[in-house]
Amino acid sequence: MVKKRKRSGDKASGGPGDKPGKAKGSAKGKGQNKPAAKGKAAKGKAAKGKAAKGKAAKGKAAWAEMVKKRKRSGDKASGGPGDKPGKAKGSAKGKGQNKPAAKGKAAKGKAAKGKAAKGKAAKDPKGPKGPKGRKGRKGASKRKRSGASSISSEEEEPAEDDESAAFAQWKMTTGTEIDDDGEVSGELASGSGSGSGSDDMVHEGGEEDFLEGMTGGVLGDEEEDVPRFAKTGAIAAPLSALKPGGDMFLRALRERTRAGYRSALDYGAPVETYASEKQLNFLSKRDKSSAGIVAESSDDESDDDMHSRNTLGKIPLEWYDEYDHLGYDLDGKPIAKTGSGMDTIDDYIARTDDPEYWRRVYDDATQQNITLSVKEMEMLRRMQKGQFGDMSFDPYEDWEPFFSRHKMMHPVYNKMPNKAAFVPSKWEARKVAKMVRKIRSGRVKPKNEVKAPEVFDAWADEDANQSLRTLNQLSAPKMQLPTNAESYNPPAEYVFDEEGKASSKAMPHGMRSLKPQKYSALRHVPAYKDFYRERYERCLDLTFCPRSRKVNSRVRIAKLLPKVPDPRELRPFPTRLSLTFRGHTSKVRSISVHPSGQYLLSGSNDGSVRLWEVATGRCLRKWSFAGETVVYCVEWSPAAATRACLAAVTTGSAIYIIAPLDIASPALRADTMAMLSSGLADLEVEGTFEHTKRPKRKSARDSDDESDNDDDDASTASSSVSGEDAPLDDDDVGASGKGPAADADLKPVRDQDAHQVPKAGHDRLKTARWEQTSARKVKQGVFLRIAMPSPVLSLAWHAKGDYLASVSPKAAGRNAVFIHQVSSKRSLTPFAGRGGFVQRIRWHPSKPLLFVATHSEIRVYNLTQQKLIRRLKVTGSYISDMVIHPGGDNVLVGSFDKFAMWYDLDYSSRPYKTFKYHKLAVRSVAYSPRYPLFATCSDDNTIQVFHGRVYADMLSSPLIVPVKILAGHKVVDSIGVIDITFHPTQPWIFSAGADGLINLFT
Amino acid sequence: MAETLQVQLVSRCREPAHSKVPSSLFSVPISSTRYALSELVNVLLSLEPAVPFDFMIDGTFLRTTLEGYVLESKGTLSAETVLVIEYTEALARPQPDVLENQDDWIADLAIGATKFLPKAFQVKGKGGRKARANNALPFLASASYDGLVRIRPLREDGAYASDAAPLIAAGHKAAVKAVAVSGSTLVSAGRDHGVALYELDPTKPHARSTSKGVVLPSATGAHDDTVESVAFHPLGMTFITGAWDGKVQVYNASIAAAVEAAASSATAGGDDDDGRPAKRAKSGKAAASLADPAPLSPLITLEGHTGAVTTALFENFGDGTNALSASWDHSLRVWDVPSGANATIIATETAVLDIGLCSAPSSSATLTAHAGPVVRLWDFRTQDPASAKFKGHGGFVPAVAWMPGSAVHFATAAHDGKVRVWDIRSPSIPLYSVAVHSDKVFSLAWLSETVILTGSADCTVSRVVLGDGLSVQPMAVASNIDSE
Repeated sequence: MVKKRKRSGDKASGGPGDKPGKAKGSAKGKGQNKPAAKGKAAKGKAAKGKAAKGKAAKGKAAWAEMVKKRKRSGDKASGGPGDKPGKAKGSAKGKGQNKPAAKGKAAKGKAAKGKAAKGKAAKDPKGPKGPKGRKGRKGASKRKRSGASSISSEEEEPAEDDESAAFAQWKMTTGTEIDDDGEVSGELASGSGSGSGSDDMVHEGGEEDFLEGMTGGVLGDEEEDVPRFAKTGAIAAPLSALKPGGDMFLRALRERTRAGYRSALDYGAPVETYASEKQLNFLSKRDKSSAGIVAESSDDESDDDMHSRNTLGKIPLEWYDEYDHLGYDLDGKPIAKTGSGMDTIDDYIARTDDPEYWRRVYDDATQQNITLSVKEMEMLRRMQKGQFGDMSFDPYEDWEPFFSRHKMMHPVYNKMPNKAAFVPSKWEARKVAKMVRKIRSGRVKPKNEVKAPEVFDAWADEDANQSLRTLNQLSAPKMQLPTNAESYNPPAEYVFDEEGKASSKAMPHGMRSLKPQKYSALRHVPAYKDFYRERYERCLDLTFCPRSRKVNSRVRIAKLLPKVPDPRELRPFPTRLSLTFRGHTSKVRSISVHPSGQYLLSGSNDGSVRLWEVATGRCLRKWSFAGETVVYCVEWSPAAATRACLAAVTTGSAIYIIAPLDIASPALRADTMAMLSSGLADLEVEGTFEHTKRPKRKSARDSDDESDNDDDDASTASSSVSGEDAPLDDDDVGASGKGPAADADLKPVRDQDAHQVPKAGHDRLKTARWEQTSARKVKQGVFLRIAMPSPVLSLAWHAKGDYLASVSPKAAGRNAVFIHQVSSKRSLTPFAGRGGFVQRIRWHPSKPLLFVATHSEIRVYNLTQQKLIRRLKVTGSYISDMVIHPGGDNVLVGSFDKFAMWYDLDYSSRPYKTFKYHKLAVRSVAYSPRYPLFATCSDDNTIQVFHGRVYADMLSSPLIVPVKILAGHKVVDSIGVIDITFHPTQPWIFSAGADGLINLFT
Repeated sequence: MAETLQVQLVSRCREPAHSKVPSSLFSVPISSTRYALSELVNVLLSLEPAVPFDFMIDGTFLRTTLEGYVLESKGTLSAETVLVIEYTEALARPQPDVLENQDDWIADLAIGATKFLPKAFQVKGKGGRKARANNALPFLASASYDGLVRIRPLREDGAYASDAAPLIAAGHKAAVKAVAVSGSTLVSAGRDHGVALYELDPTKPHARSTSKGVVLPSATGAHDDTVESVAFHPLGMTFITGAWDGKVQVYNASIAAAVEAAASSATAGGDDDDGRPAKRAKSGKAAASLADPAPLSPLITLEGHTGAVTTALFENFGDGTNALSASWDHSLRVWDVPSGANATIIATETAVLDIGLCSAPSSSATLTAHAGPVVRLWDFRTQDPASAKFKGHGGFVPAVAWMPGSAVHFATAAHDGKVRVWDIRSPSIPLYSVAVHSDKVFSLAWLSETVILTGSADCTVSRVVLGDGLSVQPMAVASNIDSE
């Protein structure tokens, strides 16, 4: 191939002389043929014209074109053009005829070259196609493969192809950073390798071709104008060999030159620009003036004559420092270093004699002395100043845009898009597959990894917030577009017929109620009038009242609940049943604990009152009131352990004051007797207790006085009581006669109950009457009796133990509430009228206040001012029990309708807390005198114990925590726990049940 | 975990024949229980018939499997360590029997011994006289809610020695709540707020016996409320009372002194300016005649409790000048009696009903029984006295008592009618739980190391006889307790 190449080179070199003419002709012809080929073509012509002018051999338009196109890389082939043009012209012509759209400049050069190459390379299959010259890619790639020629052909190819010519060229100009994607490769051009996977043979051949092309080109060039190029080569070499300064200078020169060209090309990206006359001028001038810049800038490969030629190539000269030769000639023999041929003396002589000496440089590579011409000097000077070497070169020349504003009759070209552009690239696919494989196997990681920010982005959330804000904005729902049925002008099948039936199933389901109506125009639709106004208002609404997303607060209900301490932290409180006091045979209605905590008093439906020892559950005494069937209430005097050991018992229409003196110390005994005896003189009944003292003491000594566990003893005691107390019997015949009705008393009584109404004609008591009991009773410790006009159901001692309030719910008017003074043996009715049925009455522990609970409200009276000071509202409840907190500021109320209510008197007359934990009526409520406890008991057989701490300061509200539910009774007659009371010193609670038991929970 | 454990068996048996287990290591399954180990020992000793054994590891009775014990020890033991297991003869299940049915609830029991027997104490049967002549004969004084104290002689095994009518001490007008005996002196206290002092020895000058054998009190003391407790000083010269009025009083136990004091006060015509406040209330009733009880004056009154004092007694360790009292005010107080100062107050969770003082030498372990199903063990010589808690009773525990001479065993009586015998090394489970009574048990007294007498609300006095072996004192454990 090399040989062929050479040969062809020779041939070509021989040829040029005659071809130019042809070329011109063809160019001309083209121009004539295609008026559409614009300025380019024109330029081409012009160039041609010039070329023809300047140099017959070289001055083809194609040549000019080529030079311009290939700035640097093209120069390699620069040697070549000279010969090829001849052929090229012919082909160009053909092409031109074939394709009117091919630009003038285009292609000839290339096509020509391609043909030349083909022609030479006989095997090259391109040959046949070449003439056609228009097979875009195929031809191009083939040419690529074919080495040196390919360089040119590549460059040409674009031109030959469509507009990609310009593009490819431009790429070339921008240097070596050529992509390897198959278009034009700089590497390829420089012969480094063929990116295309063609066979090695071809490839090598290509390389050799390349070299040969070079040589051939050089040869051809040399034939054309040897002297010029020789000069040029000389200039390049010596410049590079100049001593430091010179070297720098030369490098700067090169750089400058390149930059100049590059910038020029950059500016004029469209190739046509460079076909300007100036450029051509420059080129031709350069030719003329043999300015070797082009050659130089396109590397040192192109040189002129054999002798001076740089045979080294592009290698540092230092490599030959150790040798006597400098490179090799074609035959492989070393070329001896000759040096400049001037020793110091010669040099001196030359300096003095030779006027040209100052501009003579020695080129190491070619081992020649070169004398710079005036022009070259000038050029160097200019370049030193940073200007373009060529004075005539105008880098800022105007250029004409390819696309003008003028309307063209024909498109610039009408070539169809390249088919290959639509075919998926196999190689690309392979490459992609390769990459995918790598990524999959993990050898390559995708580059788009997000790096963690190195610094904290304080505004990172800003956008998020904003988006959130905007997220909350809810856009108005879009209305669905009307369907046919909703149209103002519905299709006929939607319109109802005369019978009012939708004519078809066309009516969508869900729109049956719609009655389509037909209007001739939209403005006839009744709603049309208001349409715009409504729309406008709607818009206003949306603008001024934007819809926003409803934010559901995610709150856990458990968090909303108040924090309640763990019941275990609130110990002690009663938790288990410890003792059961057995003895009563019927419902235990009332219990009361001695203030010392040692004794318990209980009253039962069996008509007996029992005294118990708390610690052991021992029944110490029993009082029976045979005439009475029910002991309603028993109550120790709060002063029972200190001033007067008294207890009050109410049974039927009488209140008994009993004093179990044997449990009292002698001093207390004396005080009690004094209290009982005082005021007796005022009673109608004569006598005092003096006469009773002796027998009582005597009886106390009898062991059978206490521990009347056995029924015999009890019955005798009871019979004696009933036998001796005639008034008692008389007064309560009715009550005793209606024994079974006693249970009814446990149930809420709304109205006057018949069961306690005295017999007709009986002399009824109008007020309370104090009586002294018989000696026998006194012996048992029952000292006083207060006959009451009506049954007394509830009692309340004042804290000092002298006053006793009694409640007769069924009594009329003033007789409902009595206050008895034990020391003076008097009773009074504090309330004139009735304001409802009084249920309970309680004394304030420290202040002169009286709490009166009716069925539906609680009235607080100030006793010193004698007026009503407060009403506590109980809405919708029927009060069953009421107790006052030991501190006096809180009231606990139980009601028959399951409620228990805590009133804080500091707050309002409404309950501070209402408890509805019981399933049935609340029978009784109780506060613990010592511990922060309170409890409620109910017919559902449970006792509910609460921790209820009251704070002394005014800031804190009472803390109420339910802590325990106790159960230990049986439900009898649908009555559960009737009464509860706390132990005065221990966290214990007693409960009295309808099953006749009293339980102690500790 | 390994399937087996290396154990070494060490004998604490009383019977020498049971101690001959080889000291080599045995590999036993970790699932072994007391029964399996007992079988092992029986096989090793080739005992016939089999004897049940009980096993202790590190001072605690084995009540679960070995594995359970190792797990319970939480890392201090591992499957690799060799367990040293002590074994003793297991106790036979005690059987209760009723000694006596009385008319009323038995509130308290006291056991004494006297050589001087009144006529009623004629012991029938052979050897009775001999025993009377040589030894102090044990007797049981039972305080009843009917106001009487009944005194009956006992045999060694706890049974009544005589069927004769009991000697009756009738010194109260109401229920007797407490009784105590020291030598021939008996003191009782009751709900009539009084304290009665009796001389049981008819040979003593102030003792009075009637033909019926009723001992009349020679003196009464006075509280302002029910006296719940009475106890003698170990030396017998004084006794201490606790009452519902919150006071603890110390009286001279000398009847002669009481009578003389009463006589002198009577002759002085009620002059009570000699600084004895307790005399005031009684001075009017003081009678020189021996027919009426003479009033007792407390030597000292210890005031401080804010609730009813349920128990007051002298400490039996130390120099004998300290007294302990327990109250419903949830406190336990230690008094320095001579000065009347309250040395220590220990707060308890609930009301204390009884105190048990250990009679073993050099042990100050104290038990308290509470108004709840809890018995607590205290050691007052440590910073944090509460050291153990024994749960399992039903209802109140009104009585607790150490086994005489033992530092690890005690018995409790509870309202659930059961008597439980405990070993402090097994706090979770009692050694025995014996349903003795059908009603609340109020009092409990150890006659000996094997006999417990109980009094109850079912009006009976019962006896519980334990097996032998309970009194075995593993020395290691005893020293542990001391060192604590």
